Amino acid sequence: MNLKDDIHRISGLVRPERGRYGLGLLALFVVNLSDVIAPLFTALAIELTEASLTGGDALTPTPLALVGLKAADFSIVAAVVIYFVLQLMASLFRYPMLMKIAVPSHQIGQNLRRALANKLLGQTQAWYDGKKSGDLMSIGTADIMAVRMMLGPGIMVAADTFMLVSLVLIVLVSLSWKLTLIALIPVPFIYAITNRLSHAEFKGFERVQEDLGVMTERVRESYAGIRIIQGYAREEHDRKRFADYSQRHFDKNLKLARVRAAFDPTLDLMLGVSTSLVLVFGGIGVVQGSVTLGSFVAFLFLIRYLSGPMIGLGWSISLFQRGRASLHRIDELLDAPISIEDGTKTLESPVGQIEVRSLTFAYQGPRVDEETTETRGNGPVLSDISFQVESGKTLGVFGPVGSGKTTLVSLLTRLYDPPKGCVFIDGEDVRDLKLENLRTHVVLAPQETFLFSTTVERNISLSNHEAEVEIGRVEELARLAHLHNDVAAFPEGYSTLLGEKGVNLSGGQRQRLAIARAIGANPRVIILDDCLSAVDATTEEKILENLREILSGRTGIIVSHRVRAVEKCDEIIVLEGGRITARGSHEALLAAGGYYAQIADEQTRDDSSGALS
Amino acid sequence: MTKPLSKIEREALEIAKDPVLRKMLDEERVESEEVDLALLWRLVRYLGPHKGVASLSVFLSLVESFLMTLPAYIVGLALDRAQGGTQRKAQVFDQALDGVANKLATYSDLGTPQTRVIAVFGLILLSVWCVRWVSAMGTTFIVQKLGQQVVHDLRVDVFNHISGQGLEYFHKNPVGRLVNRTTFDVQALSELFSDAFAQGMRDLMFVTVLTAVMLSLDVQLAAVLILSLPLLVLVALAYRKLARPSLRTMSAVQSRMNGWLAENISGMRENQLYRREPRRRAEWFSLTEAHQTSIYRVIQAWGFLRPGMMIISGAATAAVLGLGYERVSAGLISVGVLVTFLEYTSRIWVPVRNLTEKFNVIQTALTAGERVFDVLNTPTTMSDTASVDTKLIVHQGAIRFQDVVFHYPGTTEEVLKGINFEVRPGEMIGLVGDTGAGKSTIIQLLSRFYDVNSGRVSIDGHDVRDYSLSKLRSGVALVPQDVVIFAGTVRENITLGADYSDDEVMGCIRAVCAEDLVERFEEGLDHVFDEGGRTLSAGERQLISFARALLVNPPILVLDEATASIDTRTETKIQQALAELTAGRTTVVIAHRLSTIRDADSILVLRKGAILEEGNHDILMAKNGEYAALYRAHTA
Repeated sequence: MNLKDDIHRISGLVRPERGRYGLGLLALFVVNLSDVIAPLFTALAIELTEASLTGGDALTPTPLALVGLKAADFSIVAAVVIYFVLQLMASLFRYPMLMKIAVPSHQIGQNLRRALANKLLGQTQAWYDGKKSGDLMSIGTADIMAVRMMLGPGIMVAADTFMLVSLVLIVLVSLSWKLTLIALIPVPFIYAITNRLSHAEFKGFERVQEDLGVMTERVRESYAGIRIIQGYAREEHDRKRFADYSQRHFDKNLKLARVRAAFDPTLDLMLGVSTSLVLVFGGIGVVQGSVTLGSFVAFLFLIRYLSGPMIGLGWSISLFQRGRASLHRIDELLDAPISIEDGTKTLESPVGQIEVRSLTFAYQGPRVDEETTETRGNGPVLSDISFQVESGKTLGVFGPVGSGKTTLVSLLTRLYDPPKGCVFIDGEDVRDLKLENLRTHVVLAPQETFLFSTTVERNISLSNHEAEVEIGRVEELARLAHLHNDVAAFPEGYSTLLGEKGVNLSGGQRQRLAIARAIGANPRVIILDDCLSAVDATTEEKILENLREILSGRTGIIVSHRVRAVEKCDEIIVLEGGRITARGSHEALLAAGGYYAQIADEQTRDDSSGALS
Repeated sequence: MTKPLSKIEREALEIAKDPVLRKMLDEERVESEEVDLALLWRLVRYLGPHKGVASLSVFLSLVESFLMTLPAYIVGLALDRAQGGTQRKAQVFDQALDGVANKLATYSDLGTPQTRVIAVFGLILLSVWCVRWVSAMGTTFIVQKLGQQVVHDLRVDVFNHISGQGLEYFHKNPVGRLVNRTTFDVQALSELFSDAFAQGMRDLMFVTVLTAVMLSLDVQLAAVLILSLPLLVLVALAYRKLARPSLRTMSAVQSRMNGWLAENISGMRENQLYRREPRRRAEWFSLTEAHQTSIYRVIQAWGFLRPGMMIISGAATAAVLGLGYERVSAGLISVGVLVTFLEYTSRIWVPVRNLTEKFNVIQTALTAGERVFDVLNTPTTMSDTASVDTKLIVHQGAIRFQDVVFHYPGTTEEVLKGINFEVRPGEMIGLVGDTGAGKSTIIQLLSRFYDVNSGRVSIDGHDVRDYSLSKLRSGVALVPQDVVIFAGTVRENITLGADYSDDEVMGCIRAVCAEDLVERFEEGLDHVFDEGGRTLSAGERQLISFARALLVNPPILVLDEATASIDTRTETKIQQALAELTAGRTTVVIAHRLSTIRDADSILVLRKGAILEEGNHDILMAKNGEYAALYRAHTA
């Protein structure tokens, strides 16, 4: 948090680009030098003009005289040409200045973005549980932008201010130190005003952004819930409500506008005060002969160079403040340890035998449960679970909502880390296996799968490392999961884009896509976590039939709270409150007459699981 | 009118190899090349209600333009007066300023007359600056306010328009897109107002006033500066040509990156489950690479603009110096006038620079504006028909479908193929069938979310099209499968914004056995639910949805039964609540549990848009057809 560490960190960021930054700053110096010297030749030209009018000798502007130049040595053409050449230099060197500072600052931004994405890709689910995706997004966008602004415009403006102010002051003092002091009177005010206003502006801007977020969420909800709003004929109320939100946003914007409206004019006024002071005291000096006409004109031009950097100084200070705060947030994310440790062993051609030995598991830290949408405490979610699935057999995991089914299968693929010595694949502890290797062989199709905004084809072939998979293979997968007819009905078939820029899939279609994805991975062990809950009965029936083909030669785990989905499994375990309360085949469990039999009875009587939906 | 991709766009795509980016660039390219005057005109019309303020801002801008030309003028004049030069010919403001100066000078006897004149001019200069300070603040504020006002009006219009659209529209347009149109795109238009309109107007006035003043001072020097203007514009145009494709590419890549990041954070579990990490890493690398390439081009264009303009203004200044020397020597102008001109050279390019630097913002705003007006131009698909009887309300709740044929707009497949059925007031009908059988379509036609293609849907003997939409929907309450919880109080979530007393609201909550939902919060009805009601269980959401429906006290209730898993305790409550809710109402149920409709007066078994079987449970069981088969298949 302290300044020294920050300076160290920032210079660390800049170091790989230091060559380019050095060139950029050099170019900046040339620009500033030319900018400051050019007005002296304007002054010289004015002196020459004045002299030609009065017929007297032209006076030499002091800084030029100091380096041994005399006005008499110059013709008006020479003065004008030199002026133009200086202007040309000032202009041309701006190009390398920009390219050698702005471009590398963006490059550093890209490096940070890459480091961030690497970290995010490696972080564990447990870590994500404690984070809001909105916060992560804002680090990945706004914060990186703020650091970039600090390293680009921030550094450039700070250097510019420093160089230009020093150079201008040297020239001004050499012209007339008294007049310089007078011209500088408004500077402290400029500094104070910039500081205060930019602070107020930033606050106001933040408030507007925050309110924009609130208003946006309001709009989103109205549109997402349009069926209810229209269905209850409450459009008018909703519109009135939105108008209020919009009005409030307008008011906040107006407050910001008030600050913004004061900003530039006030700074202009300060420049005006400076000009007025120079006019009065410089003018009197000219009359009395203590200031030459040329110096006076040079003064008028040079003080303008002071107000710019002064405004810039306040600006770059706030850029550095914001940039540092953002850098802290970025670093916090980059430095967060990854709690899952990659193993070293690999299984070359596993048979897919699974063993779980007295597994007890509790989540670390608070976590929002996806199924019950309730925040869970830290008590054990699974207690003393043991089972074995032989290669090529299927296990059904049956139990009510919140019994720990999803947790159990998440541990098999190490989405969460099981304790050591509890979960084994082919006799190897999953914690000793390379994650990459484990997840190649054990594939989980989650209940609520995520669709990426890319084509259907790419969404299905997600597990394949080659970007292009034979379309025939994708179709075959889709057929197995009974998704093909749906996809074929899209105008663009398998090239249809999904997500925000494309079409939305229904819950059932998503689940079927998740199944196709999982099969596509061609794993030894396939886990279907309640993947048929939103699929209608007829389709479910057909998928269950295909399942035999899908699972042939693989080890399968089918998680469900529907009897029909698990009844064909070789063995079924019944989970209640995180414990195995019964196990056996479908027939054995029915005969045993416990929870399983009770639910089986209810489901067949009511046909409660959407069989007719 | 799609144009081929520009070089930089091809380059970025080459690097990124991203189909979504390609689509985004394609979408962007459809935008018209030139400023759409019709669009600007539509925006200007939004100024109508604020005519007074708008004219005030025009007037203030004019005043400001004069004030901005004055300081340099005063400095020059003061210089001439201080030197007592005689060659200055009387100019536009000379008399007025001299008059004021002489008058003021008589109030003091400090120093020589010359120094006194200078001090007075200094004073005048300072006061001009002060007046300009006030007027600039005023103008800026008024212009900003005007812009925000227009944006507010527009935002409300867009929201009202969208929320009046039929469901079909919401199916076609993802919510995210519509939200962007309503907030971000409209917001972008405010910059069009303050940066393009207002600043452009101010700049134009300033250039006009400045030109007039310069011409009156000295035609030849003025000509030099005025001639430099087209050159500056030329540089600006060259920049525009250079920067435009790069800017467009950059912003497309940027929004693609944001989208990529958002979705990969949300889809991280899938990335890890399916070992996508190396691939994602490569994707992200390519995207940042493409981003950097486009940024490089943008900066390059920028690096060309500023120096280009400075070289031209430098050349103009040099020309003024050279020519000024000639003219002063020849006694045609005074040194003061020359100094004034020198000041003006540094001013005249500012307006062009402003406009060019804001070019990006303006372009973005224009594109956003086009999208916003596209939304407003899309006609509302569902509205009251001409034959509507505004007094008609749903009274008894008799439903009748006669030969109803329907296909969704934009498709040809008939989802209902001649449906006939009737429900008497107070009866319950159950709809059973697979996905795609037409159950949801039937209930959507009943609430008139869509209109039939042929046939007739009537309630209490009147065609649903004869009711006003609001009266119809007040009479037909929908309890959907997925309950939407709005961020807001419990009360708002149940009343949906309408005025009901707390007693009425509480009455409904008690009737659906949801009182502990309210009682467990200190603030009671004023308790604010989280975004999306994340803390509520599926069962609790259902109960809220029931309370919503009960409050409206509708003659017809449409119930799309939830499939979500609910614990047994809540389940019992829901059954109780359902009994309370359906009592005495005509009820249409899409059943997922046969227990709900076993006692229904009638059950429709649907398949592929046609009624397969009809009758109550006993009749259908006796008939031993599809229903019985389905029923038995799961009891066997």
